[in-house]
Amino acid sequence: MKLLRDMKMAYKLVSFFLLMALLLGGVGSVGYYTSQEISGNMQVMYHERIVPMHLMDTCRSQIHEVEALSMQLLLAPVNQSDENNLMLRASERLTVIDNLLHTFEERPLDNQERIWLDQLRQELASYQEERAQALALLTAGRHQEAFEHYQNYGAVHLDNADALLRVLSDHVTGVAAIQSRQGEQTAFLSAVTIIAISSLAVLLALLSGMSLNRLITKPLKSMLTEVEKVAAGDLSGLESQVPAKTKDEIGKLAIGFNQMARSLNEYLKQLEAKNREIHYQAYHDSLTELANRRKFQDRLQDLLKNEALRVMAILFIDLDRFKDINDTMGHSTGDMLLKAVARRLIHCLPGADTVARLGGDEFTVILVEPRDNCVIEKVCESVMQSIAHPFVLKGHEYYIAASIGISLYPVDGDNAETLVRAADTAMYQAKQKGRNNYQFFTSCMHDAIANRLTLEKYLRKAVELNEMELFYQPKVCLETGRIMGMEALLRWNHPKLKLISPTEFIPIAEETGMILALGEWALVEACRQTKSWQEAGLPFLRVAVNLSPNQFHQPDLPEQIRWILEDTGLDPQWLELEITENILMDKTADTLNTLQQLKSIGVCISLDDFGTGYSSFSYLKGFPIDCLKIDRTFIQDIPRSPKDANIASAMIRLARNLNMIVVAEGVETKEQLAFLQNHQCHVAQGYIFSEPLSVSAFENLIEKGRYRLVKALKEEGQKGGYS
Amino acid sequence: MKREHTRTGWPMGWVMIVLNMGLLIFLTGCLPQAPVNPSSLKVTLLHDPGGRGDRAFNDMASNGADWAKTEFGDRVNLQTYAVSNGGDNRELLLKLQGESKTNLVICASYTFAKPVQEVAKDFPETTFVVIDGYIPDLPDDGNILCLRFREQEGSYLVGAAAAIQSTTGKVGFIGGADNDVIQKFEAGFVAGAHAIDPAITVLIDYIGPDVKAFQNPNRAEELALHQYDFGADVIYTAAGGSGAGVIKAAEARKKLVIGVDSDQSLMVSPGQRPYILTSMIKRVDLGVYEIIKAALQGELKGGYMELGLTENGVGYAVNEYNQAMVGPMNRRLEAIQNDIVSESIQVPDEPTGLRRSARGI
Repeated sequence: MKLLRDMKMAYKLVSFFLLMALLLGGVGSVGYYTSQEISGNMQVMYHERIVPMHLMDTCRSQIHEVEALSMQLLLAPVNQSDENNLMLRASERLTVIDNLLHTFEERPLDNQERIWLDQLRQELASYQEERAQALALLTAGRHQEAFEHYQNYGAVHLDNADALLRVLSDHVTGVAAIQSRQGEQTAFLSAVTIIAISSLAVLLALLSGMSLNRLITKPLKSMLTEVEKVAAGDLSGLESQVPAKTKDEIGKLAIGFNQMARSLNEYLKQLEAKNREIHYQAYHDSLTELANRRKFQDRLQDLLKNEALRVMAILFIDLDRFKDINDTMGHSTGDMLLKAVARRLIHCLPGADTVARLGGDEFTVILVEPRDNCVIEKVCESVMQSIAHPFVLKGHEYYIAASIGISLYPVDGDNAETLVRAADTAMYQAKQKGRNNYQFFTSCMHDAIANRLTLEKYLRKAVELNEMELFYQPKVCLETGRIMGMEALLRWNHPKLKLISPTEFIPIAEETGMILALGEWALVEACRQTKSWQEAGLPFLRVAVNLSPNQFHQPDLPEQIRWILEDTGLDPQWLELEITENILMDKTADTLNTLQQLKSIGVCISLDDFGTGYSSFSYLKGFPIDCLKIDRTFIQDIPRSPKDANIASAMIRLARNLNMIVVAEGVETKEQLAFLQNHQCHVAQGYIFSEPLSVSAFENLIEKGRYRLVKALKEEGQKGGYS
Repeated sequence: MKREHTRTGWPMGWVMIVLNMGLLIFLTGCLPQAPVNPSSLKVTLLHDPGGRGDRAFNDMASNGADWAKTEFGDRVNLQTYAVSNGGDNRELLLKLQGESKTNLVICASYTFAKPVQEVAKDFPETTFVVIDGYIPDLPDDGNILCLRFREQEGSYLVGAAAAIQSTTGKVGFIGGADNDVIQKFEAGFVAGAHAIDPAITVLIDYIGPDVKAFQNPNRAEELALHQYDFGADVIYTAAGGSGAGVIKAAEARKKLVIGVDSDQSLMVSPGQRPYILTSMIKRVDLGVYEIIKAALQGELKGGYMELGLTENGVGYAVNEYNQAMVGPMNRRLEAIQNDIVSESIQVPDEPTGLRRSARGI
């Protein structure tokens, strides 16, 4: 059976037909053989039995004739010619009998036949002898005697001969009957054999047809079922296997089918996996694997649709100082840091519904049904704590902090946009309040936002409407007491909002990019003003203009500066550009390049707010910086804080040693002035000398206030015990 | 797994099996009849010369064989031989039967007793039956059977009938060959006649000493005429084929005759019928039939077989032609018959006393 299964389909069919042909051949040959046998039998029977039977019968009739003739001869002898005629006829018959017996003898005889034949010959001989005697008596004229002799001695031999002939004939008949019966038997056997073979053939044909049918159609059917299932969209069919037991074409087809189903299934699974991945990617941040903005929005929408939801808090987390690290250490570090932050957020926010990264360093958290604000506060604190731990990346430690804004549903809004904006605002507020802080949204924040938006709106038109004005704060040389320069500071005089502090609008300008136009305007204005003062005969002073990072990073900055200087006609040596440390932290090569180009123009470069950022001595060494401005925070606590005093003095020493001019900002008291003088700071700037002044006020100061300044300086010197 | 179904909903396998069965049955129907058992019983009936056509003993034997042949058909292969007129070739015929492996040889004459005794021992496969013959000391498991009839019992009854019918006080008996068998007829007839009429005269004549006496009707007629002329009005003839002569004589003298072996009323010409009182029926046909039947059933034994009144082997004939004569005496005859069957009448099987011949011996 296994062999049959493994056979090729063609071989199966061929062997099936061969088997049928064999059986047919069997039937045919049995039929042929038996017909041969029977016809042979018939022939034998005819030659060996029918012919001799005929011989015997002829013999018997001849004997009866002989008897009749003899009786006639003996009983009614009419005349001599009749007598002779009768005698002749009788002896003719006897000769015929003899010939017949010879013919009989020529065929194969069995023992019994031979014995009987001999007996027959004997009887015939005796008869002829007795008859001859009777005839002899007859010819002698002794009629009665002749008849009696014949009757008493001759007739019995003829009867015996007749009996023997009958027995012989019966014997031959019996053998013939047996042979005929054998023939019948053969015919019967052959018929039985033929029928048996035929039934076997039919049975085998049906059975093998059935099994062949099953072998072929069954796997095809199941394949068809699977295919139909798949075609109908039921892909579960691909999981199941079609039985492939045979090794014929069907089996191979089944194996191929199974393979196809498998690969299709695999492909489908891959597709599904890909789909899931795509879905995942669509809804997750690829970097941190947190939910992305879309997912966050969707989730928020879902939650808002849920009427059972009573309370919900949105946390808007912004990382402080992340931008610095990203700018300084490169994006790869920034990315690693973000990942680490995400891990920590996940870890410390187990109860959060959703933690998402909206982009950059902004994260959002949804807290569903917080019991009260205390819970939220605790959450915020734990977030801040976990972020406050140093991050160790590539062997460096990084310190960052998180500012968190919180908005509450439904108090702060009932739609996603409002809630997120509220949280954002609160975060912004938190940041304003001082970093590493959290802040619930309050309605006044909303006002602040509105305020800010108004400011932004006005600011866009401020330059056009000529609302901007530069104020100048003098820088005083502590050795000579003379004003040696001034810092140009922006003032915004809005007709409705009155005077607006730069701390208010500068960040807005920075964020919106308006700082570029504003900065350019300031540069042009400062240069123009300074030149006009120089032309007006006032003493030549160096004007310092602040450059924001955005401005600095303009690739055409040096070109711009050159152009402005040419346009205003100001000698480059009278322009000082103040940059912050942050600028130096990033893009070192570009930064150096820009600085060198600026230097080559001939302008002076000073480092503003020194000490507040990531102050690095390598800046001082690597960049062409002329002037160092000590931040006001180090000055304001002098002399109460010895630490600050020490730092300040160290900075002064450092700058002097590096042949830089050192400027102290925010000098307000005489003590501070005295300290700076003592520590040989080159220049000081601050309210002790003058607040930032409008153009006219500054002109006045230079015209008239020179002495007052110097005087004040001298007084201070005396007080402080300096000469 | 789901079963495969045909369109009609029957399981495929079952349909196939039923189809196959049907086919097999059909083919079996096509089988030819198996050839019949070829071993049919080979039976040969041997007659004495002139036996056939005697309208008596030999024809009865022949009828019995035909009866069996009719009843058993191809199972019986029957041959008939007659002894030569010209001489005794019984031994040769018997031998030939043995040599041709005949199963059963039935010899319809006591004359075969001696040659059978000679030949039978050489052919143990063949059973030889001698009707009316007597061979002493036959064993049960031998191959010779002697079938004998108690003819004296039937003869007793017809003797009684003759005596009842006789008005002259003389009845006659004409036997064939004067031997043991025919003397049984004589003894019974004489006893029966005397049982009715102790004073009755029974004339007794035999035709000859040997078997030729049974084919000598002329002599029988002669003897019968003699007896009738002597006063006998009823003659009982126990002479086989020679009986025809007695009947002829009866017709001539318009006297009565009692036939033998078969019912002679049915054999003779209508003109002779009125003169046949009755016939002593000897059921040779029954004997032959029973023997062939037993042989077919494999129950045939050697030894002796006797048929008498009890076995319906003998009796007297009543038919439409003799009804008028036999009818009135039937009750007496039946009574006697019952007495014989119940053995209250002992029928002698040998003649007692002297014979009175019509010829006056």
